[in-house]
Amino acid sequence: MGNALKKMFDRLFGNREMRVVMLGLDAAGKTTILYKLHIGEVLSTVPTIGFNVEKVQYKNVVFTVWDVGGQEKLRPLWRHYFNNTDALIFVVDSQDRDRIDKAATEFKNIIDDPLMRNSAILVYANKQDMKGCLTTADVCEALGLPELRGRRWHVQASIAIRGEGLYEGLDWLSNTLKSLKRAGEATSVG
Amino acid sequence: MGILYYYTSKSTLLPMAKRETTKKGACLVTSSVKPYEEEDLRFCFSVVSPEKSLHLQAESEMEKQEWIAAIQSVIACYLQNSPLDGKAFCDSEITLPTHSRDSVAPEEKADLVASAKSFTEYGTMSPASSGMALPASGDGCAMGGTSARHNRSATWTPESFSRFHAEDVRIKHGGEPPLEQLQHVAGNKICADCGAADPEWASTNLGILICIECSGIHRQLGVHISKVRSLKLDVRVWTDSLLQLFQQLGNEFGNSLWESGRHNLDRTESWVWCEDSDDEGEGHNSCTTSPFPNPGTTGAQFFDADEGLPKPTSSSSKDEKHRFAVEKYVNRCYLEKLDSHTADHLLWKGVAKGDVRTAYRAIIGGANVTTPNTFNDGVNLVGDMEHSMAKAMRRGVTLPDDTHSGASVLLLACKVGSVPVLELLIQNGADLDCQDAYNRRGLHYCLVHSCKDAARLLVGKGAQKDVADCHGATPMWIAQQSGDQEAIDLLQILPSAERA
Repeated sequence: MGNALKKMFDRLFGNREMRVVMLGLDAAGKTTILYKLHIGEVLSTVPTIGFNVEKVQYKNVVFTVWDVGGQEKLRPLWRHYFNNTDALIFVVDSQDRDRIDKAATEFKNIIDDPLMRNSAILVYANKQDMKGCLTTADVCEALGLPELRGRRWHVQASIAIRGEGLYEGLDWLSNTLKSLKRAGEATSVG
Repeated sequence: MGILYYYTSKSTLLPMAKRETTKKGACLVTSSVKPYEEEDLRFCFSVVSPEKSLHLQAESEMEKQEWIAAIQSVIACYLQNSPLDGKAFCDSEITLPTHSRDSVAPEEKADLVASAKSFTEYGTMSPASSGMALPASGDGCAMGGTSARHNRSATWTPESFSRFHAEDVRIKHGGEPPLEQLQHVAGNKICADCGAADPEWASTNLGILICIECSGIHRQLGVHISKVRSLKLDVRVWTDSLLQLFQQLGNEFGNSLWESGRHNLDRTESWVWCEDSDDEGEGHNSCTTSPFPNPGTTGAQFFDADEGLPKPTSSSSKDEKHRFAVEKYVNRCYLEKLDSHTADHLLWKGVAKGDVRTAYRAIIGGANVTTPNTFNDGVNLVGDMEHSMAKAMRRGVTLPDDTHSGASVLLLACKVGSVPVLELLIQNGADLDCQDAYNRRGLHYCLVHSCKDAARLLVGKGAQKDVADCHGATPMWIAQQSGDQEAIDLLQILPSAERA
């Protein structure tokens, strides 16, 4: 009963729920981003073994964000989180130049998955405060985003520990998903 | 593998007969368990997966904690021992779970039960419904084992649950995994930073093992300070060469340097770095108190170590551990500093001898691994190489004015052919594709000096293969000249997946 009422209100006021999967190599900053958005604090995190999932309310969108661990053995599990996903948040450690190619390979695997073919793509070029880091343009180039056809993507510079850039990214994401839904386009598969 | 089966029941007695209902389970590898906080419900926890969330109730706070810990450890166990291809995760039948019966939950009584192949379900337990399960009450519950291995009925407690799974996983594992190989290295039984037992994480450039909490702290420091990998969850990064490097370093050795300045603080028997302050460094290589040539006291000084922090223990707060790690690795408070010239010399010397520990000491002391050397140490690396190449190509030698300079230390390591040294340099930022004045690269140096293991390492790391020097000689040309089939073959290997 309460639920039904809430749903009605949500519809009335344009509240939406979006399911988002947040991926990236280990130590990119996924969990830090999740908790910065969820509770507004930076927890000192440990490597995620498995995943974290939290709801993040921003403006009138409730994002359910699945933050899945990025170590090698966890990467094959990513696809189990693709069902019904409206958007991908891909997080890159912009300082880790050695592994940007590896990040690009994993990124390509994700976005080529049939279950992810309609999802919007938000890339956080994270750790922009670190010396010698890649710029957003570098990250964009390295991930091959300019060559992507028929996809909605956005690269957002971010510094997760200070919260910089995170909400700008969500802004883009909510606007994009709203406009896609308004246009009647599917954003998820499954 | 790793499916948590459950069913709900309104009766207190479980009819064991009716077993052919549909199977409902939560795949543990894609599940996460955490406390479930609701005002009216006590002792609840949830098992969340992309498909559903289960809310379960224990009989007491302690039991709840035990269940969470048990399920968590089982999930970690399966993740760490999973195959890299990701198959056999949720598809396989080998499974085993949990049980329980007799409930306290008000309306809908439910039991959490485990059974390998079949199990019974009464009622439903939908996500977010009020279905509650009570694990482990002790009497009369159904349980199945892993496939045919355990076809018995038993009651599952959090403890037996996790023990069973751990065993299950161990049986399937073969070969000696990286962790086991490195545990025997001196000091590696405890975390290098806080002393927690059995560390399972590592810093690949520092050559040390650390606990998961300290690994989180190292990750915060940034990859220019520490590159963190898991010994259990990362696989491809643990190449033979990296394992060889780790075998020669280890926590005891690492801390003997990184914390060498702490003996003043800790008031323990000291490890003496420079015994003889008058000596300029010669003749100390065999000195038993110091594994290294004396770097010379002129360039050596401790940071002001009198105001250092106490070394954290495993029970210290994350904050304390973080502050200590920053002091230790970023500010280098407890490390004997070298001036850059001394450090560069020491690195060159260490690499020339294939001595990993000296090279490591030099690198953490600030030696530059990327820029070409600018000093004359009597070794004419580039000139010797030119002589060899000219001979091979049957042409005259052309030496530039200053043949001593212009080669980076990576090329020296390639000539020497020490795999761990090469790995150390690469882990610490050496450029795989650096060149000398004749556009010769690491692979040229390796192959001219018949260092095939070193060449294999470079190729595996993704060094460029089809590059000619200024006279047009490629690594393949050198390999063919030598007529060594093994050398020719190794140039065809594909780079390994991860450039670590």
